[in-house]
Amino acid sequence: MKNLKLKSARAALDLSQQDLADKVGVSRQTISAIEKGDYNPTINLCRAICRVLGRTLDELFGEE
Amino acid sequence: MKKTISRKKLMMVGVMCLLIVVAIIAPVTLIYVMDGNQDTMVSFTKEVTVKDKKAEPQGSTMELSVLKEGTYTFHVEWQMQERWPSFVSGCVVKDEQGRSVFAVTGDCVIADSVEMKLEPQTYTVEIHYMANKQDYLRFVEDYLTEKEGVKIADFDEESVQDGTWRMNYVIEAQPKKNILAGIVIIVTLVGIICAFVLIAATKTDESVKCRFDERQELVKGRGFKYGFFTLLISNIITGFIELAEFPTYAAQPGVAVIINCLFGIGVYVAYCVWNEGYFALNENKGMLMIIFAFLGIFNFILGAVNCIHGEMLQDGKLTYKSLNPFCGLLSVVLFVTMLLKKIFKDGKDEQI
Repeated sequence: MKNLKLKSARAALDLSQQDLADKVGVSRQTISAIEKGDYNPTINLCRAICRVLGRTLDELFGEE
Repeated sequence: MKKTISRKKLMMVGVMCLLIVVAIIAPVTLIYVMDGNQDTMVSFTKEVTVKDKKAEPQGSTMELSVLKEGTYTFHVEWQMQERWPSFVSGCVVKDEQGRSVFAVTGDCVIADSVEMKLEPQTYTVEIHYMANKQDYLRFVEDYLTEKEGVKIADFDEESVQDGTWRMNYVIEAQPKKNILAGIVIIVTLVGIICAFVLIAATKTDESVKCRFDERQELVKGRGFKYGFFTLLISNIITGFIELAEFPTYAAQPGVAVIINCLFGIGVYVAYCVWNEGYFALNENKGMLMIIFAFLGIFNFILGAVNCIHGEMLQDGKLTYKSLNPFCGLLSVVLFVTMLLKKIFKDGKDEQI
C-alpha cells in the first residue's frame, strides 16, 4: 500500500527523495520503496524519518 | 569543501594504484605470453586391447619439442577412463641421440621427474603397453635399473585379462618457474594491498567500510540466499553428473566447482544490483564501474591468451585456465543488470 502521507509530508517541506534519503542516511531507492509501499521500514528508520520531517509516527505511519 | 578535497585525493590514490597494478601485471602477462611456448606437452587418449597377454598396439611414439634451453621437470600422468587396466604402461623420454632422459612405469601414474637441464631439441616420447612379464622386465632392464634406489614393482601376470581399455596420457616438460612464481606472489601481494587502498579510495567519505541501509542489508541477505542455493544446486547437479560419468561432462572436477561458485556469485550480484543493494551508500559508483570494467577486460584478455595457447581445454574438458573468461563474465553480469535496470526499472521510478 502506498504511503501518500510520507510523500505529502516530504513535498510540504520541498524535499526531494534524495534530500530526505541524505538526511536520514539511507539510499534514495529506500525512500522510494517506502513511499510505494514496497518496503516496510524498521521502527528506527520510521523514527528517523519522522524526526527529519517534524511529524509523529502516527501522522506518517499510522493506519488510515 | 574539506570533504571534496579528500575525495579527490582518494580518487587520485585509486587511479595511481590502478596504474601500478597495470604496470606490474602487463610485463608479467608479457612474460607469460612469451614463455607459453616453453611449456610443451603431449596429450592423447589411446585404446589398448589385450589378448592372450599381448597388448595391441604395443606402443606409441610421439615428439616433444623443447624450444628453449633450461631447467625442466617432466610431468607424466596416465589414468584409465572407465576401469582399471589389465596392462602396465611404461613411458620413456629419449633425446635425439636415443639416450633415455626419463622413464617411469605403472598401471596408472602421476609422477614428476627430478629437475634436469634440457637442450633445445626434439625429444621422443615412447609409451610401451605391457601385458606380460617378459615385456615388463625388458622395459625395466632397459630404462629403470640404472637408477639406484628405484623400487620396481613385481608384475602379476596371473591377473592379466583380455579386454579393451581407454587410457588418457599426458607428458609434459615443465620449465622451472621459480622466478615466475615469485613474481606472481609479489603481484598477488601488491594486488591485495591495492585492493585495500582501492576500497578506501572508492568511498565518498572518510570511512573505509561500506555503509548500507537496512533495506540494502535485507536485499544483500536475500541475494546471498539465492546465490548460496544456486551454488548448492549446481554443485549437486555437477556431483551427480560426475558420479554418473555422463559423457558430455565438459569440465574437470575442480574447475566445475569454481565455475559453480562464480555462477552463485553471479546470481548474488544480479539480484543485488537489480534491487539496489549492491553499491554502498558511501561508495563512488563511477570509480567502481571503472574498476569492474578493467577487471573484466583483463580477465577476457587472459582468457584469449589461454585460448590462443590452446590451454582452455584438455581432452575436451575445461581446465582451470578457462576460468578467466568466467570471472570476466561477472563484470558483464553487473553491467547488463545495470543496463536492464535502467531500461525497465528506473524509468518507472519517480525521483521527485
